[in-house]
Amino acid sequence: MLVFDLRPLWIHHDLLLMDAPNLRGFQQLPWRVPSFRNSRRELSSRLLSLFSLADSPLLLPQAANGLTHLIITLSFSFFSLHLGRHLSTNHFPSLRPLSSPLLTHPRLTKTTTILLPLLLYLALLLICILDNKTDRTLLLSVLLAPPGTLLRFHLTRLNPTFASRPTQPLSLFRKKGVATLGTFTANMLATAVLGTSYVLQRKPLAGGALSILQCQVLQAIEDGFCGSLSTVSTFVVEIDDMRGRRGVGYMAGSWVVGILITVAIVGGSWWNGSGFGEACSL
Amino acid sequence: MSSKNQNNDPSDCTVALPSGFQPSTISSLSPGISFFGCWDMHPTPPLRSDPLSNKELDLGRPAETREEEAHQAQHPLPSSSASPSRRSPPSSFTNMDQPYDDGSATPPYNITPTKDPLPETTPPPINPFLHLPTASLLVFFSILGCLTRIGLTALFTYSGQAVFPLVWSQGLGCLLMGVCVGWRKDLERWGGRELYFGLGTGPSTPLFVSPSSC
Repeated sequence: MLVFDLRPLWIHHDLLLMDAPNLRGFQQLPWRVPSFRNSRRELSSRLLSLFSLADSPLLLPQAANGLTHLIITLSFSFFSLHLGRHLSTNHFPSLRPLSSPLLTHPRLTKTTTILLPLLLYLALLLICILDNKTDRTLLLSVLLAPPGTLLRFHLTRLNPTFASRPTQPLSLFRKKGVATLGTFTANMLATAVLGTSYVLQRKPLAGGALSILQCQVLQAIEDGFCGSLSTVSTFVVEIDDMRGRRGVGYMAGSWVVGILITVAIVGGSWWNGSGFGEACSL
Repeated sequence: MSSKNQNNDPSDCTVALPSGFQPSTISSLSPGISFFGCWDMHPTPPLRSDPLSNKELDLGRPAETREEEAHQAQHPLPSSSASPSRRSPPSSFTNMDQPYDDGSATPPYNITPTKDPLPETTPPPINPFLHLPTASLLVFFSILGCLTRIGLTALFTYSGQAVFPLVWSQGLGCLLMGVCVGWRKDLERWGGRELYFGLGTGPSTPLFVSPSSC
């Protein structure tokens, strides 16, 4: 669920449910109180068997799954990026066929550009408010996608190189700073929001189970908002622009910080309470 | 001025049209100009002379400047033909004895309120974070991208799937991103910078799988 879907590696639902009787808070964490009786089912064995995979056969498919996700995501994204760039520069180098007189009329284009998306969004909002019979998860996802995109777009102001013209940089930092801080922040923010939503969907609260609309909103936050806030295409483009070790460092940094955020949120709420249940019927 | 500065000016074509000709008029005559404008895989060299009047064309200069120069050629100013290079205005006022660059204390003779030729036809700088078309296009493409992502994930979720279904939307998004990066100049010339932002940023590809869809 986190960066490059490490969820199979870390927080697989079924595997965590198996450990529910063994984990009651941080005091019983195995590195404090080592107990070898059920060590195979405890978290420490799982953490350790990250490094010695032969110890726990249960973890092996999960680790392999996470690694497969990572490798497939990266390789296919890079392949697609380079394929698209190759096609657009070598085989279809010109967009001139699109400049038909109707399409390039300035006022018509500008009016359509501004009005059509806003009308579409308003229509979707009205449908979502008025229609209370159908499943609203898809509608809510679509409605929550634009805020995520706009937030990510505004987070690019954290990039020091973003400027509309050389004399007036629009970024918050003038020259110094991490060149890809905006995308990194967006991805980590999306990971945090997704982890929180994941926890809220599964952690039984004091008020009982969540209502249907709340569950739909949580699912829509995961699908729409987090899906739009996080990006792999910009990530890949930025890595591709970097040369040498910086790209590898950026990639590994995003990966590791994503893991840490999810372990902090999901694992923290897991270890604090009595595990996960089903607040929503998933 | 503002309408001239639009990116979709038809005078942007590789073939310079003689003044007075509309693109639709000449489209059936010249093989280099198709119906859609000036799309040609093998661009013809630009015309060096007007075939009708057999005069040299000023390529790359706007029509206003050309008309103005033609007007000046008919009614020449006293010294404009004598010295083609205009005397430059004073660069600094520190030396008041010779305030002009050629060392004289009198202003140049031929300072006339002529219009400067148009500068480069760059669009006026905008702040994309406060730009309404940019935001609207981002909204539009993010809606489309979200629907595409959910649809692709639903389409490729089946029992016995080889890879996780999100790889399709990720690959499609990265392909679109690569196309946008390759076409960046054309995109910005055709639809402005907001189109590039909208296409490149709007249909985002998620970095992770939604837990319910995996």
